[in-house]
Amino acid sequence: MKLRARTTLAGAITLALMSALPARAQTGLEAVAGPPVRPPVWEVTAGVRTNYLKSAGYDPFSSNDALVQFSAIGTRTVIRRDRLALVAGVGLDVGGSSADARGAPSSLTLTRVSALAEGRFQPAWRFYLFARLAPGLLHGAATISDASSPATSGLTGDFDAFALDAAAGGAFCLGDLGRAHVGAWLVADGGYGWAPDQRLVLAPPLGADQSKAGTLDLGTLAARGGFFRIALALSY
Amino acid sequence: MNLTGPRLAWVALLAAGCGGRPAFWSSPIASSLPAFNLGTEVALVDASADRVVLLSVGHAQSLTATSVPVGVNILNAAASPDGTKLYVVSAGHRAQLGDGQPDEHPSLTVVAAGTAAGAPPARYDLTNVTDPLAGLAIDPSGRWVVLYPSDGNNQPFVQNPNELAMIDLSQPAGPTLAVVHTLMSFGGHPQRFTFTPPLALPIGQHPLLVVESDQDVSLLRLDLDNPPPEITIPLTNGSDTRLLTPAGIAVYPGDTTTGASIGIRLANDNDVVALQFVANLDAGGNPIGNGFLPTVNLTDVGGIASDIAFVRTDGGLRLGALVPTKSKATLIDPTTNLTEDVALPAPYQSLSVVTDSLGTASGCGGAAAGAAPPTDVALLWNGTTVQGQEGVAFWELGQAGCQPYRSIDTVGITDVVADVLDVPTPNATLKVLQTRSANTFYILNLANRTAAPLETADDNIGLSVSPLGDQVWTFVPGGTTVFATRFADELPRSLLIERPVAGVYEVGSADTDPAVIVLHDDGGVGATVYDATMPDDATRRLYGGLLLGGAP
Repeated sequence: MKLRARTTLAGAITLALMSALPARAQTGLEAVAGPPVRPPVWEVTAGVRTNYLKSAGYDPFSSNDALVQFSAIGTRTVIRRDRLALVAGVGLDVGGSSADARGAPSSLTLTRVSALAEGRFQPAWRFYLFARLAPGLLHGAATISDASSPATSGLTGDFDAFALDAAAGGAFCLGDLGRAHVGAWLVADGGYGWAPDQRLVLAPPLGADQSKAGTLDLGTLAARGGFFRIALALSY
Repeated sequence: MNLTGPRLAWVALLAAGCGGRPAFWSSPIASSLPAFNLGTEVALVDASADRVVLLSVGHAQSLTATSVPVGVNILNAAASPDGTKLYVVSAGHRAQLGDGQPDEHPSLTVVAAGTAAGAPPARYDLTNVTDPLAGLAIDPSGRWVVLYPSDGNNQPFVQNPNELAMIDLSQPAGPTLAVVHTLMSFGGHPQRFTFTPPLALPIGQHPLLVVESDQDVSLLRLDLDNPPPEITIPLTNGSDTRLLTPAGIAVYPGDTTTGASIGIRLANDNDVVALQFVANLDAGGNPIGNGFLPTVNLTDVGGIASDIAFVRTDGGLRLGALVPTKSKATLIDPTTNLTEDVALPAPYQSLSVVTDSLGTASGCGGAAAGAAPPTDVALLWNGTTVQGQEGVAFWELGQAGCQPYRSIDTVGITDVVADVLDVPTPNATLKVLQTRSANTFYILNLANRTAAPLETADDNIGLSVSPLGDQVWTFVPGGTTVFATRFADELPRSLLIERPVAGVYEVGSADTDPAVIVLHDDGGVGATVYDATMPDDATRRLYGGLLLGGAP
């Protein structure tokens, strides 16, 4: 699934670059007629976010420290003053990791829903920098399909926690799309995603017999760490 | 820089590959993990993770898994004879240049019952042993452990089969110098090790280590800092040049009137060897060598002896030997070598002295013989071929008021008894008899000499006696059937088990009621925990992934 997602992303980036080529060819005309892409007011972004989780609690679910998520953001410019803008929006990061924990298939899914506030500085029409703060809610779900589990679905556990992202990055305009001059942007940002420690306690889901289930304590998961994101955005 | 789409994707993928995780998570859980009941905990030897996991039970059938790290590259593990300690031998690691794993000496880790409650394990790092020795022999007194070469993985390319590394566990744990000793070799390979209790030797009370090789027997003193060379006794029968192979020994430690004696049965000869000891002193009364020498007496018992034991008869101490090919037992006077044959109704292959279990309950003969010297009662079992007489028999070795001298009293068991399980106090007069290829096991009452049969739907059963001595657990290995049978009423009660059973272990603690841990080992390791005293499906608890926790 991830490979397919990444292939799709690569294809999308390639298409975007190809679609941007005519825009580059028109650069001479644009100098006369003004920029074909106006500063973004509405913007939707989709991309890949890679998180670095150094927590020991993450080890059962990944053979490395990376957790890759699909990332989607929608924003609207609230205030614009010359080259500066204040943007608000919402974001969704969803994804996870799967591995073998001592031979037992394991997976961890992290879903983050956040509200974001972003300050932008756009020195040129093709380029802007931003700094973003995004408080939100983080939901984690872990599963280990240990054959010894009393339930066929293995051992499961989940948690919800407050999360806060702080990031900075930049966006480069690849060109415009269609007669509406929808802007196509390549956006890259990085930062730190914080979430409090979560005790990862898994149990077989036994429904009404849940009281009969013993638990597996996998220790503390600190779902926080640095991240970077590469995305494509469309603005209008 | 021209960052095209594919390049960006590769950058993301490479970045995602950074970092790693401890090898623990990549080491699969071995199937059929060795498990040991330490009384208050069940110890699982998780060799691929270089650790022992202790399962202990708390209130309301709660199960706690405690990880105890041991030396890397586990070679062997064995419990002490009393079952309260686990000994784990590790090969260690010899770090090559640039090796990220640190250098580590071979080691012995002693995990005692109660470690899960906080008592630290004792680890002895063997600083003068370079190559791993996988064989493990444990002194019942707890003082000595002997490592010796053994078959298996991680054994050195060149090994001396007569090398012994003896570890004195009375010294503090930590870096330790093993006492390395090479047995004088006549070409034999050590096969079995027996630590004797203190023996009444001509130089006083001393324990010995008896090493049986495939062609001789060696005697070592372990109670000296610089022990003299061992005494090796090559085994031949004097009538031909065959090398005789010892098949087991029996030890009599001696008493105030009789010196110590060691009996040896042979795998390939009709003789039984009896060793007694004489002083070996110089003119000044100083010991020469060990200070004693064994005298060797060979007695032809007419067939290969399948089991031997020292027994007290009203004629004195005798070495009893079972000769199944002749359906007889032979009593050998270890001093005079005189023999007396006793015909048996079946070719019994195994013998257990049950006098101590009987206590004063024997009723006929046995230890309740008043002021007369105490005499023994032996249980004969593991008979074959004779229909209707395969089971067990009591062998009276003393004059009895209601039984003829040295009589054989058979019990009506028509199955071949493959094993006899002891039952702890307060039911020490009971034995559990496991049969071979029969859908039955028995609860044998030594006092009234009755055997209650309990029939099973499968002939492949495992039996586990409660350490409290109040019940026996019956299960089908790999099945989902577990029953508890209380000795008080002999009524079986089933447990509701939903995963394949690998073993059944009853454990207790000072704080909670005893519990039974039914271990499941079918890919991962899980457990079902019941209250052992009042098994109730409603209060059972089920656990999975027991070896996934406690990561380093």
